Amino acid sequence: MSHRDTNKNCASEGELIAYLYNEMPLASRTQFESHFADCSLCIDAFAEVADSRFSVYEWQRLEFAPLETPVIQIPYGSAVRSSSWISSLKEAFSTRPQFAFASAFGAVFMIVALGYFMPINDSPTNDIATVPLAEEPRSAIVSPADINVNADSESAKGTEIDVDSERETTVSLVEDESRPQSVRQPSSSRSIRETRPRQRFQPQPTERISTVNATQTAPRLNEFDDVADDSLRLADLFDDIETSE
Amino acid sequence: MFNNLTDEQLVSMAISEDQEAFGEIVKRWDRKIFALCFGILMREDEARDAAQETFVAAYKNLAKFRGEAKVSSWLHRIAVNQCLTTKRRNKTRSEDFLDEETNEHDRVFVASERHSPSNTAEQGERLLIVRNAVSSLPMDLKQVVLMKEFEEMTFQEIAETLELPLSTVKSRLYTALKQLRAKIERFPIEVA
Repeated sequence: MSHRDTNKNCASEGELIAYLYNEMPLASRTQFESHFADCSLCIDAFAEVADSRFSVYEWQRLEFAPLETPVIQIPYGSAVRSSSWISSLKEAFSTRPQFAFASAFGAVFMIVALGYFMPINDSPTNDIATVPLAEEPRSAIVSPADINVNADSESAKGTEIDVDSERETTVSLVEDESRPQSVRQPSSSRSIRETRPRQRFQPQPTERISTVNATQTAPRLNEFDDVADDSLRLADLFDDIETSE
Repeated sequence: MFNNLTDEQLVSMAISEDQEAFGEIVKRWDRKIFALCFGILMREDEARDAAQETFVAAYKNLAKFRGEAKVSSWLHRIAVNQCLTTKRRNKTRSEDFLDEETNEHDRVFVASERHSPSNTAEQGERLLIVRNAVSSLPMDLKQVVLMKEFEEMTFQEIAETLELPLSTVKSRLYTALKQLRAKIERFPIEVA
C-alpha cells in the first residue's frame, strides 16, 4: 500500500519526489512543508526515498564522478558504409568518375572493334536475297504463261529470278537454323531472292499480279525450254564449217 | 551486545541513563538520518550539522518519547523539523546578506570526516551493494534513476526524453527508490 493510499490528506508520491529533488514550486513547497512537519506518514515515506536517493548519490559521487570524461574522437573522414551490394556498386560508380569514363570508352571501343572485325559473309554460296522486300515484292511470282522467254535481255537484267519450290524450302531451312536474318550484299548481278513468305509483308496475289507489268517479271530457271534454245553452239559451228567445205 | 535488542528497548535503556544504548541508536540511524537531512537540505555540510543536532535533540528529549510511534518515525520527525529550521534560517540569512548565489559550489560535498580504514571498507561494500541493487532494477525504473542522478536532468527533461507524462516519471522514480531501499536493506553492511 502506497503512502498516498494510506492517507488522502498526505502528500502524493510525486510531491514527495519533487520535494526530494527540489523541483517543487515555491508556493507548493511552503504548503507541503506546513503539512510535512506534522505528518509522520509523510516523514517516514520521505525518509525511505531519501535514504535510497542518498545511496545512489553517494555511489555516483564516489565511483562515477571521479572518472575522467573520455575524450571522444569521431573519425569524420570515414563515411558510414552500407552493407548492400547495390549501394556499394552505386557508390563505386558515383565516387569514381574516372572508372565510369574508362568503362564508357571501353564500351565504344568494343563496338567499333566488333563492327570492324566482324566477318561479312559474301561468299558465292550465299544465295540469300538482299533486295528489300518492299522494293521487290513477292509479286514477282507470275504464271509461266506471262513469261516471255525471248524477252529482251535488257528487261531481264536486274530482275530477280525465284528459285523453284524445292530450292526455296532448302534455302529457307538453312537460313532459319544457322544464319541471322540480315541483309547481305549480292555476290553477282543475278541474285536469288528468298521466296519464303514473311509475316510482315504478304500482299494479295491477285492485286500484285494486276499491278506487275509483264516486262518486269523475271523468268524462272526451270521454265527455260532447252528445245527452244537457239543460241549459238560450238557443235553448230563445226557443222557449219563442214557444210561450207 | 545490543544486536538482539529493538530500537524501543534501546530507548528504554537510554532513558535509564544507559549511554551505550543511545550510542547504539545513533549507530543504527546516523546514516539514514543524514540521508534524510541531505534530501531536504541538499548540502552535505548542513546535512551533517542537521543530523548532529537531530540526535542531540533526541537525546535531550528521551523522556518525552512515549512509545506511541516507532523510534525511526520519532527520529525522522526531529530531523525534518531540524532541517526545516535550518532552511528557514538559511533563507533569512540569504535575504539579509542578499546572497542569492547558490551555485554549484554550494552543492559540492566537503571532505568526509570519517576516513578511517574501517569506514573505507564499509563504504566500498556499500557502494557494491548499491551498484548491484541499481543494476537489478527493471529497465524502465533504472533509466529514470540514472537520468536523474547521473545526468542531473530535471523531471521535465526526463519526461520529454522518454515521452512520458511528468507524473509517470515521478512515480517511476519513487517506485525505483522504494525498491532500491528494499534491495539494499536485504544486504546489511557488516561494519568491521
